[in-house]
Amino acid sequence: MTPPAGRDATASVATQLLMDLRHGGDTGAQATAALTDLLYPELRRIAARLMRRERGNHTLQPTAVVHEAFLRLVDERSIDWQDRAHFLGIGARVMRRILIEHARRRGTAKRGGDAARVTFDEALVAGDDSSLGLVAVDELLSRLQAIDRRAADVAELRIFGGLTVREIARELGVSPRTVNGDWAMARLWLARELAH
Amino acid sequence: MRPDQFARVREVVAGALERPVGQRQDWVTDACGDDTDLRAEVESLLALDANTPSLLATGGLGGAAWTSVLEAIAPETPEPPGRRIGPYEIVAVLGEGGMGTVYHARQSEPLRRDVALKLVRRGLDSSRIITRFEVERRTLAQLDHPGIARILDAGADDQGRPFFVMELVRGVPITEYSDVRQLSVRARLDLFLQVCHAVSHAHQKGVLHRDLKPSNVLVTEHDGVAHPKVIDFGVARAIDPDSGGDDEAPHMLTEVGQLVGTPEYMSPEQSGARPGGADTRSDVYSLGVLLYELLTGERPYQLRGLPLSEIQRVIGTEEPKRPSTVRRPSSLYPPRSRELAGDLDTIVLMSLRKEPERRYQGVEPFAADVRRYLEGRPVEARLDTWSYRTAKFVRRHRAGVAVAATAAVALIVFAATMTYQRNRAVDAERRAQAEAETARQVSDFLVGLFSQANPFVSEGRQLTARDLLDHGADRIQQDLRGQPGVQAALMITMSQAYTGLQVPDRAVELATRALDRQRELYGETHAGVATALVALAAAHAARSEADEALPLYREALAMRRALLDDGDPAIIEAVRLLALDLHTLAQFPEAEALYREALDRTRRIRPADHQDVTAALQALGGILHAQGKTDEALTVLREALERARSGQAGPIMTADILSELAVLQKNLGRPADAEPMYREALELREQTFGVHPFTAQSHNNLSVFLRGENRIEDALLHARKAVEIYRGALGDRHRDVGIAYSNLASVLKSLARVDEAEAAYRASLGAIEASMGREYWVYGQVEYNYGVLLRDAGRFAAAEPLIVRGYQLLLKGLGPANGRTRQAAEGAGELYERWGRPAQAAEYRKLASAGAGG
Repeated sequence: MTPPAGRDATASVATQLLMDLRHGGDTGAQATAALTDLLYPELRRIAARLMRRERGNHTLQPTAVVHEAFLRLVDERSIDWQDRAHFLGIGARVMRRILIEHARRRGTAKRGGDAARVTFDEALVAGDDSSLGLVAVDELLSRLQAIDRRAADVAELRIFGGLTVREIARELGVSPRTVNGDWAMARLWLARELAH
Repeated sequence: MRPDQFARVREVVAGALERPVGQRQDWVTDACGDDTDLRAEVESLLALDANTPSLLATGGLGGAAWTSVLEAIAPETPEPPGRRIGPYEIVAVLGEGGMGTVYHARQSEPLRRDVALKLVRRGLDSSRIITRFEVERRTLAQLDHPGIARILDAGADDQGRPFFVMELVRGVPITEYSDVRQLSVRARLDLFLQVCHAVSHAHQKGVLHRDLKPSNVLVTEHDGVAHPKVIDFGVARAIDPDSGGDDEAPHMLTEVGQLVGTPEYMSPEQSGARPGGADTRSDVYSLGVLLYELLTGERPYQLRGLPLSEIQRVIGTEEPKRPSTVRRPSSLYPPRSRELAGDLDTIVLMSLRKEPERRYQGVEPFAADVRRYLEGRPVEARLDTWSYRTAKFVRRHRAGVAVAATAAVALIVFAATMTYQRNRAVDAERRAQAEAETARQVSDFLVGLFSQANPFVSEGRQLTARDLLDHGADRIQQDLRGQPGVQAALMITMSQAYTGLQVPDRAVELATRALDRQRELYGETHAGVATALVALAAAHAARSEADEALPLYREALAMRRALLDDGDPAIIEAVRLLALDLHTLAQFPEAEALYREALDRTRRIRPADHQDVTAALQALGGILHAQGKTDEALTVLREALERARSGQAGPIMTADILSELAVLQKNLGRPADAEPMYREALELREQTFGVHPFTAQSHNNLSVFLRGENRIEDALLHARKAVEIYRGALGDRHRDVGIAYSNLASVLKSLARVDEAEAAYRASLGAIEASMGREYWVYGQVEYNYGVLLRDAGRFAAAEPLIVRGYQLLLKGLGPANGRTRQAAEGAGELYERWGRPAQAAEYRKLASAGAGG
């Protein structure tokens, strides 16, 4: 298998970091931090490109961004399913952060705040109102985290990373069954709180 | 909402979602009982799943990323009649299951026919499902049996949701049919054999059903003759996200929160209760459940109302009742239990065994045995043998047996060591013989011990590690009468195990006897005597009798220093335990010196990355912290945590380190650093210990922290949890119960629930007095806290004796410079000031500042 075009030094670094993650402990923690830093600009780039290509006719799936990053950055021959789950998990968290930062910045800008502080591709999020919705989801996830931390984690991985139940189970170290229950609950809870 | 309430809501909601829409209301009513709050919460959530308009339509929020987030959480709505899905037109809803809705639909091209269409819920990876279905399609097409409903088509609708099209069967579930028609046992078995025939046909073509249950076996009647038809062949597999390409056990889970299949009919390997994938024997199991229900009207396990994890446990470990002993829930046409007893019982139970390899190895042999029964011939099924069940018992109680096994390993090592010591002067050959003999005795003893754990003896009750130990302790007396040395060694180990299980009374008793025995055998000064002394001291310490333990530890340490090589780990053990005891008794400087000695010695004899070094660091960090030497404590504990993170500590020790560091960070005013550590420690302990004093300690610490952070409701929750676990594990007369009560009281005080706080303080003082008497500073601290409660409630006269006495005990126990002592002096000053006695107030204020200066 030839690596897809566009895979570069970043890619081999990402693959290496994933393998470091397996060690856990300090090495693992450092690898997580490094991957987070590496994914942040990468995910933004991909999101912006997808949005330009699709011209807002189509929904931007945060999960599609994360998955594309995976395909671009990771050499699948060198990794196993556990690594994939780790990658998507970190990607989900970064994606959430990116979306929320952007949404907040827009909100701040409207209130006359400091818009220059966070740079962001304007093309990423189409409608203004979505900012409000995303911030609401973010805040709800934080609230849910206080009542049921794992359910909130599951929802985050699912909504922003598009991980499958099995992948989430691996990432969080619980059974798929538990993930299913958590997701069902988180989904309903979020839906209800949003409807308020 | 509090997390514990939320957990309950989650349980009920998850249970409801596993049921078809029509049964959810009953379930909720059942599960909530008269808890109206719970019920309201559950119903408001479930309402969203059933019929509210799509969230996408509400709120008028646009935006791309937002839409996809909403899509992820939006509820499903049933398709209206007339809507087209591919070439099919919806006629009506037939039913709703975990993985989607089944419709009656009509096909017009290329031919006109009525079909059943199953539309899978959103959230599943449709392309994967359809690909997987395509793979099996050819196989499914070969299923040609009058007892199997044909799968006709599969595809995806315009929203990308996969659907399956099947032959429409207008029948009723086999159980319902049998009851309505009042079928005899024989007629039911005939019907069942037809089902077996159909399933067996599919198995021969290489297709598993994976979701056999009465609602998937529909009976239609033609000319008065019943024809059962199995529906949904191949569907469960296509939808199961985990089947194929994966090295792990495929659990029957969908991506949207349900098990594919009703849990009651799922084999242990499918439910994830056992490792291993589904095969034909999983279908055998489900058929067994179906037969059980057909014959008794009940399912083998009552899973209704159980939390999800519990369902797995039941499926994986509990033995079903014999069908003949099931009393029917209704009087509807019960087959007579006499008919079921004997062979039929045996046949059904054989099909329901936990281990696939011990069931019928296929549907054919299962059906053959049923046929033999009907023809009055001997069946091949056999009841479980005793030896097998014993082996299984050991497996099933792995945790409990693990404790016993740890004891067992310790026994063997210990016995061997002892033999070695006894025979130092004897030549090698005789020594080897003696060792072999001791090992044999120990092994015989253990075999006897586990035989006592015969599951038949303890009918209806789960044997615990405690039971095993009790058996063992009794048998030491009888079985090893002629072997006083082995007997004493075993008693010491048993005593240690009792200490570990927090049953200190038995531990003290056994260690005392062992000590007497060792002294008789070896005289006053001997390594074996030291071992018994240590065990006895540890047992006392576990009984909150640190002062009783102290001279025993000192004697043991002196003995070991004199007798053993300088590098012997037994010296370190005694140093460490003595230090711990001194720590408990607040004799900090001597404790610190000993902890340092323990660390030095450990570093000398262990490799640099050894766990023992981590443990020694953790202990030293603790004593530094206790003395307020925070900088050094922080350095030492961080080193310990770093080591733990790189694998140089197990989860238990890691939790200890985190716990200590968390408190330290909190004391240093860094709550954001502290909280995750508290929570991680709690999580680790919950995982490792479950309901155990260590877990309670973590709840307690977290509660104290949260109260400091002014998150009082959360704090109350953890404080109550701590008291509950401590009392359950230790009874009412333990120091730690007292401390937990005191902390609970403080939380209640923050909530201005004075009466409850007062009751908790009284309970606290009672527990502390019962365990340690009234002279320790701990008692004083609680008295002081109680006094402050009364003072702040304006009850100065009642507060005075408590505060003053509390101060005096703290002064005596911890010295004038200790923070607790000074705080108490300060508090006494405040009492007198508010009471209008400035002279006394000034006196205590002076004591407080003098303490700070000195």
